[in-house]
Amino acid sequence: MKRLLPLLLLCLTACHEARLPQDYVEDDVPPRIYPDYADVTVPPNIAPLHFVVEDAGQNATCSFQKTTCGVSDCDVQYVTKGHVASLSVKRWKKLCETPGDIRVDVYTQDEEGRWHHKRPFAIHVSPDTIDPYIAYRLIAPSYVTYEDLTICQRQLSSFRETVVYGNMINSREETGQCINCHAFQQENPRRMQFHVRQHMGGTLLTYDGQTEKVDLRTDSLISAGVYPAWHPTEPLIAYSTNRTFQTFHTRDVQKVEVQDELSDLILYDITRHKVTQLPHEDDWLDCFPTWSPDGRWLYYCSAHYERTDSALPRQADLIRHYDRVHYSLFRRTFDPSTQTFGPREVVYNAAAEGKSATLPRISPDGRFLMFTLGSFGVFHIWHTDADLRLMDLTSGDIRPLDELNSPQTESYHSWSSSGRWVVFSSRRDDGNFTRPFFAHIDAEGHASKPFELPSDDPLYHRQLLRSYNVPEFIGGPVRITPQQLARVIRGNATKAH
Amino acid sequence: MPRLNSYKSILLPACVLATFLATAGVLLFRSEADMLFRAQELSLFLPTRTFYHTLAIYPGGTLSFAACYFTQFFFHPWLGVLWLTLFWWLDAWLVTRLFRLRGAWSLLGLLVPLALLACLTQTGYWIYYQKLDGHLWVPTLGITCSLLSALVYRRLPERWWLRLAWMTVWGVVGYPLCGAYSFAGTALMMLPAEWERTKWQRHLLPLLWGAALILLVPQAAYYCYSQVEQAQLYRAAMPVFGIGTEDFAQYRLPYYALALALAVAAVGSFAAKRCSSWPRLSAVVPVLLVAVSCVGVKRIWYVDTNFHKEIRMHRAISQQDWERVLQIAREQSDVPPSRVIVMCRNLALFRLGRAGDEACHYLEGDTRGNAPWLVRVSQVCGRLLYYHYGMENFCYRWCMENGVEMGWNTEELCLMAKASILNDEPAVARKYLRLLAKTRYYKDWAAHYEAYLEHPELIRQDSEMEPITHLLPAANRLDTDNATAETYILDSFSTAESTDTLCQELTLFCALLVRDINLFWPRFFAYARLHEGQHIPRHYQEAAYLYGHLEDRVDISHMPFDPEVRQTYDEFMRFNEQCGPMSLEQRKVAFRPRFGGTFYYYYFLVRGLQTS
Repeated sequence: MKRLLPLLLLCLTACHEARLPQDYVEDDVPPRIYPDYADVTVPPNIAPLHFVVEDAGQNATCSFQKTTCGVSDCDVQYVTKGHVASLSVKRWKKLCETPGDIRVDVYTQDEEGRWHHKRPFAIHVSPDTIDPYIAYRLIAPSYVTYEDLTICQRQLSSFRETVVYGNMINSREETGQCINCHAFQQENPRRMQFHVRQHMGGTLLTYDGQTEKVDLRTDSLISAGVYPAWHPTEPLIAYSTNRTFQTFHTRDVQKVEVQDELSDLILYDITRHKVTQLPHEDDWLDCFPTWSPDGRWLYYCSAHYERTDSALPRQADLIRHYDRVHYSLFRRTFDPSTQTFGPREVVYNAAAEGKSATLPRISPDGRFLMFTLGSFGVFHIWHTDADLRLMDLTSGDIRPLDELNSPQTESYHSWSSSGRWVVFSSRRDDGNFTRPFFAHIDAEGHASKPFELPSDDPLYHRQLLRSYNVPEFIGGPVRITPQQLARVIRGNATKAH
Repeated sequence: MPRLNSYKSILLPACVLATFLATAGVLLFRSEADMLFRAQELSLFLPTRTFYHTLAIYPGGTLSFAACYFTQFFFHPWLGVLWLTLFWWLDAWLVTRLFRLRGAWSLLGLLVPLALLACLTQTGYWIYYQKLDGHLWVPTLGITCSLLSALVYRRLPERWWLRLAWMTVWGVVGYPLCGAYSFAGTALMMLPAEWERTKWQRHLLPLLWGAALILLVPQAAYYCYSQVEQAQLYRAAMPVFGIGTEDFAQYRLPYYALALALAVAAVGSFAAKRCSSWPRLSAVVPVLLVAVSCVGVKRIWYVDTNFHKEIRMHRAISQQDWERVLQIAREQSDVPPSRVIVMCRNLALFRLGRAGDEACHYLEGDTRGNAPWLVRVSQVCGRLLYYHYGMENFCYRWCMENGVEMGWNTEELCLMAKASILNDEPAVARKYLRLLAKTRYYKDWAAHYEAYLEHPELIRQDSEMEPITHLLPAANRLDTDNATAETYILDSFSTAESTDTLCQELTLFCALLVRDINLFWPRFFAYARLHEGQHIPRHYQEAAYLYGHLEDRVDISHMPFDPEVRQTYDEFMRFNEQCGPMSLEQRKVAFRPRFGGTFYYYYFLVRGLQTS
């Protein structure tokens, strides 16, 4: 018993609920926390927002309080101790059960032992839920080399991250394999595609339980399919085909410039394995296709580029005049019954404004078109001036999404199935590593302050030396295992024609 | 008497093992201290969950994690070697305990540490190319774990189910933790301990069960959690001796020797009993085996003077000890210098402001690294050179490329932090500094540079960074170095123009090195303008005097050349006429004593050097 007593005492101490300090000084300054979750709007089904209190001091305590029925008896309050504020998923769910504000009070203890109460902030719980998963590729922001690439899926209501496919399962030293451009039809995890490059290359397609590897290259194309866009209802995928090259900035912090020497659009019919090339004109670079929610329009971006110096090869000319390549937004009508496209229409002439618009994505209700705008070029993930813009398709009005943008890069973005949430890539943390941020968008297109993908260890993203690439919502987990995918990838590809 | 026996059979061999291994440790320290220090620069250990998970997603990742932990002690090479020696002593002791080796036979315990020593000392240029994290420590820790697991097995009560249970636990848990080294532990358990007392039937079950575990656990891991190619499953935590499509199987020899050492120790335990009636044989055989192993280690020990020089130069550059760089360059050597040595030396001369006077005084060369593949300048010191020449984007880029391909290391994080500070990217610099602040030996370094983020004016007061600020590109353009750092640096600066005195001199120096007359003249005149009234360094004068005679485009008659410049030129030309027809190599030998330190020699006789 004598031996058990200290153990019992230890257990009791460990189980003891942290308490708020009774004596403290009011500091009318906001607490310094990372990630910045102050006054963000979150869906009710998001994982706990763990953060670190970065204010100096020997200790910190945080209180999460939510009034659920207007009576103090049914208030929910949890207190955390230490500089890391973390709650269990169960407690967090309790806080997010109903829409409203979670009040967060941060107390810090200085070196003399005095407690300071920082200005409280709120976490707004929205009534709008978010899709349960996102998929992304984890990749180091390297330029030419790659080693360990994984397409992952993350359950948004918890911290559970699993691998959809990792390239090392089919790679060895002498046979590197790149994987990229995962995409889903209408967030459906059973309808997915991604590309495998170099070793065992091809495009992997899963469609309602059928998985196959397809070789999209044909003699008339400049490359296999690159940037994909699933048709919302038909078994069709529009792709850009790109002849890409990259060069390096000698001084600019953007460091790398990825350019297209040539690019076109194609349409791939999954059931017939048929590739159709879209109408294209010389000196136009078409890229980043996306469908309207009704599937009757194909939006894309396109740049007009003519060689300025005929003595130079096209690539060298493009390198010299890299900042003169401007993409605008276009669209074509599409008839699903005949699989034919209409003539090109200008949606937004960014080039006329000396800008470059890329990555068009349309909200599920068809009203808004979100795109990335930069000074030039097509590969905006490396452009620090790249920001998000929102176009109201009913009026044609375009506005910068100041609520979402930062001084650093904002680039890839994806709408949730409800259209009430967006996930977008941002390099606001450090300028080099991309992290996914989420924001609520209301019916009028107003966005809330975005929040970073929550991590169990709030310092995870500071330590992670990889970027989140192409975050896409999915309606559930991808069930097919990496090993099953690996087996298909090892097999022969079906040749498209 | 029993006490004396115990002294003879246990204590004395233990002392012999310890003395022998201490000697090996001293030898290792004396020969490889610089390499070991460099190895820890090319490794990283962070005591964080994220870092652990990054490694532990692969079988053997925990072993790598532990190996990275111990690698950081090579920051003080003596400390790292001390740790290694202790582990090797432990391994030797475990072998003797496991196989119950006594007397002279306990010397067989040395075979495993000797094989481990060979694994380490054969490394050479692999320190730049090895992808296995903590590769210098992985074999030692892996074998230690295997031996411990086997010893636990032996110490268990002789109940077959208990022993099989332990074997299973080790087989299932050991593989994710230690990778292929867990097979060694299982295999050691499969070996019969008492050959003469037990019947073969009693060995059959552990033998079959162990084999099944070795075969099936990796397969189960593949389907349950692992993201490794099936063929790699049985090589988890083993070093990769391949570059691109080339495989260099000869480097696996010490690893085979390691397995053989365990097998020999196992056979030794059997032989010791059989040979007990021949005491002389019992004494000679183990000694002979150890002697043969020592010869093997000596033969496999990597030798390359330039490799060690490069490492020492690299360290001197990191410490801004430019005179030391030149001192190393001047050291007598049996082979001409490598391009890395030449480039480091030129950097030192430039930083000391003596490039125009002394660059031609040193031996030129393009000796390839003693490795069966082409060792690239970019891989060895490209990042460091880019940093010092103000090409911060290229420094950052190659740190990133290398970190992605070979695994992150402290050198890259340090360079990326410094490059980002110079590039005015404080946010990303802070990211790397925060990571470095978690390391054991670089936290003070990180704290020092953290101050630069809040006070960028400190850059101007930094003796290393201030000169670099003069070299930062004035304008941006798109470019590519095609992974050849030397050519890119020379081409970039020899074609650049600048009004900054430091940068302008570099453009002239590079134009001199590339021997391009058209590039030389405008930079020479710009230099003369910027240094009006000052003495022009010897080599620049020599180049001007030579080019003036070779081409009539520039009138040099009014230029105030030093009399020695004219005189040496005249002597050089006269000597050239006297020599008559000679091959380039013969000319080099003939001209070197009198003209080896002149630009004339460099221009005419230093030809055909290839960078990598």
